[in-house]
Amino acid sequence: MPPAEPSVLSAASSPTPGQSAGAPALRLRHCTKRYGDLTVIDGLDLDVPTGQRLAVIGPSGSGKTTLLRVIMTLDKLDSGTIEVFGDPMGYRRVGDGIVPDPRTVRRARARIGMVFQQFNLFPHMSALANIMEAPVRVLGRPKEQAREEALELLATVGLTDKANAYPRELSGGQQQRVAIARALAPHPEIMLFDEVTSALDPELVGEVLRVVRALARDSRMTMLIVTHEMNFARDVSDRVIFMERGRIVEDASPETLFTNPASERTRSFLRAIIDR
Amino acid sequence: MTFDAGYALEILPRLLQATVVTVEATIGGMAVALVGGLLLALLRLSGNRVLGAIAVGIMEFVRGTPLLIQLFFLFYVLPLYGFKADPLFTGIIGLGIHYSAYTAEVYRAGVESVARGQWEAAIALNLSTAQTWRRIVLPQAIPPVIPVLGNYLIGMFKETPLLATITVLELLGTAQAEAATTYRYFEPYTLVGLIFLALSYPSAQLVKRLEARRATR
Amino acid sequence: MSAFDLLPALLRGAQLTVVLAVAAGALAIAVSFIAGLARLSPVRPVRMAVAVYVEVFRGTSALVQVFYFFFVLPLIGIQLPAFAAGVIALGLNFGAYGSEIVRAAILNVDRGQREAAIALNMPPALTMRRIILPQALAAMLPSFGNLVIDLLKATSLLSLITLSEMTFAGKMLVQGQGRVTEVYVLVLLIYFIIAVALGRVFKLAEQRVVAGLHLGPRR
Repeated sequence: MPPAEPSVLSAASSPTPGQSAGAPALRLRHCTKRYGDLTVIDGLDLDVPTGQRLAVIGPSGSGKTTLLRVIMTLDKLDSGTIEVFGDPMGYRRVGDGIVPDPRTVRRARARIGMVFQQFNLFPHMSALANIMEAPVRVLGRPKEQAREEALELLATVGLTDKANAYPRELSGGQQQRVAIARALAPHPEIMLFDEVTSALDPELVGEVLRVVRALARDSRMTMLIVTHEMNFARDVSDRVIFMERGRIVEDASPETLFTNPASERTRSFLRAIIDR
Repeated sequence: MTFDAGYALEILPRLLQATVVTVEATIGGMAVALVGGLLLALLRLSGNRVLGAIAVGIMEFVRGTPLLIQLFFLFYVLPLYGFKADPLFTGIIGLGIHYSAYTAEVYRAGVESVARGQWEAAIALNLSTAQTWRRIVLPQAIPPVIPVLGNYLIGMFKETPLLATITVLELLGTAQAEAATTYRYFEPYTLVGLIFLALSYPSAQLVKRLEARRATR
Repeated sequence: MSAFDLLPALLRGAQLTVVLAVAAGALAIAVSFIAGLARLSPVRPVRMAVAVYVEVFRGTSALVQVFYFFFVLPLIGIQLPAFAAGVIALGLNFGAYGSEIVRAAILNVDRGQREAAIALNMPPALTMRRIILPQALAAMLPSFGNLVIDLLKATSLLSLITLSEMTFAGKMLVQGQGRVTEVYVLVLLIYFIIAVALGRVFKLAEQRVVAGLHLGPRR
C-alpha cells in the first residue's frame, strides 16, 4: 500500500456541507487527558486524512483506548482541541481564542461511529432492533426503510438468519458482528474500532476480522483501529502509530513500522508481542 | 399559625429527656435482635431440616406482619399468661424479636459469603464444628455485614415511636402527652421530627462511610 | 363461639387495609420514579432539592410523619381527611425509599450500554427511556416487592389516626369482646396471608419482565 500523504487523500473525501476544503477527517492538537495523577494522553497531535485506515498499537495503558474515547466524546479532554472534518468539537472559535460549546459535540458525534471491546449490544432488543434503533430514533428514518437497510447490513456481516435473535442467544463473535452492523447503520464517516476482538474466544476472532477487512476494502470511511492483532493491523492499514504513555512514539507505513521500525521502543514492543 | 419558638424551647428539655428512653429502647432492642438473629441464623444453617424450617417459618411470619400488632400482642396477650413486664421492657423485646428476623437474614448472607474453601480447609485441619464457626467462619462473616446491621439499628431507632402505643413515654409519646394537654401540636411534633433527623442523618452518613471503606478494602 | 365470628369485622378492616396499601403504593411508586430520576438530573438545584426531600423522609419516623400530616398540617391551613393524610404521608415516606431503589438500579445498568448509546448519538432522554430504564426495571422489582410489603405493614400505623383498617378493627374487637389472643393471632395471620400473596405477585412480575425483556442468562 502507498505511504500516507495527507493532502492527496483528503481531496477525495465525500462532499459535506460546512467542511473546510482539504480539512482532514480528524485533527487533534495538544490533546491531554488525565485521570487524577495519571496523564493518559500527553500533548498529542494527530492528523487523520479522510479515508485513511489508521492502526493504533501499543502496550496497555499507552492511551490508545482513551484516544478513541475522547474522539467519540465518551470522555472529555483536559486540554487541546479536536476538529472533525474541520468543524470544532466541543468548542467554538471566538476571535483568536476558543469558548466551550456543547452543541458542537452532537454535530461532530453524528459523523463518528464506534465498535466496543465488550460489544455493548442492547440485551433487551433483537439483533435487528439493535441495528434499527439509531436510524429510527435518532435520524428519524421510517421504520420500513430502516428495517430493509438493517437486513442488508446483517447480510454484509453474514448474520441474516439471526435477525430476530437476542444477544444472549448469540456467540461473542456473532454479537460483535451485530455491533459492527449497528455502528454502520447511521452511515458514519469515521469508524472507531476499540480492540474489537480482545474479548473473544480465539476461534471467534477470525469471523470478526473478516468483516473489518471487508469494510476496509469496500467502504470509503475513515477507520481508526486499535488492536493487538499485528498481522491484521499490517494487512488492513495504510498507516500505523505506536503509542506509549500517552504519546505517539512512531508513525509510519505498516511496511516500515513492522519490518524496520525506527524507534527502539517500537522494536522491543513488537519483539515482546511476536515472541509470545 | 406560626412556630412559637418560646414554647418549643420550653418543652425541649422534656423531649430531650424522653430521647434518652428512645435511645435505651433502641440499644436494648438491637441487643436482643443481634442475639436472637444469631440464634435463628444458626438454626437455619444448622443443616437440620426441621430446625431450619421452623427458623424460616418464624422469620417469614415475623417479617410479614406489622410490628405494631406484634407489640400489641406482647403487651396485651403475655400478661394473660403470667408474663407481666413493664412497657419499656415489652417494647424492647418486641423490637428485638421483630428485628431478629431481619438480622438473621443478614447473618445468613454474611456466612454464605465466606468462601467454600475456608470450610474445606477447616475440615482438612480437623477442627470441630464449633471451632470452625467460632474461629474461622464467624470472624469472616460478621465484619462485612456490620454496615447493614448499622442500617437496621437506625431503622429500629425510627420505629421506637410505635412504643408510644403501648404507653412507653419515649420521644413521640412524650410529645403526644404534651400536645394532648395544650392542644399545640406544631411545636412538639416538629421538634420530634428534628430530633430524629438530627440523630439518624449523621448515623446514616456514618454507615455509608463504613460501607465505602469496606468496598475499598 | 369460634374464631370465625371475629372474621367479618376483621375482613372489613382488611379491605380498607388493602385499599390504603394500593393507594399509598401507587403514590409511592410514582414519587419513586420522579424523585429517583430527578436525583440523577444534571441540574444541581433539582438534585439538591430532591436529596433534601429524600433525607428528611428517610431520616424521620413514618409514624411521626403520619401524625404530622394529620395533626400539624391543619394548624397551618391544610385540612386533610384522615384517608388523604395517611395515604400521602406513607406515599411520600415510601417514595423516598423507593427513589433510592430507582436511582441505584439505573446506576447499576452496565456503563457500556450508556456508551453504546452515546456512540450512536442518542440524546440522553431517549437513552434513558429506551435503553437504561427497561434494563433497570428488572433490577428494581425485587426491592420494590419488599417495599410494598413494608408499606402494607405500615398501614397499621394509620389505625392511630382513626382509620378503620384491620388493626383498628382488631382493637375495637378487643375492647368490645376481649379475646385478645384470638383477635391478634387472626390479625397477624391475615396480614401474613396478604403479604405472602403480594410477594408472589411481585415474583411473577419479575419473571415476566425478565422474560419479556430477554434479560435472562445466556441460553
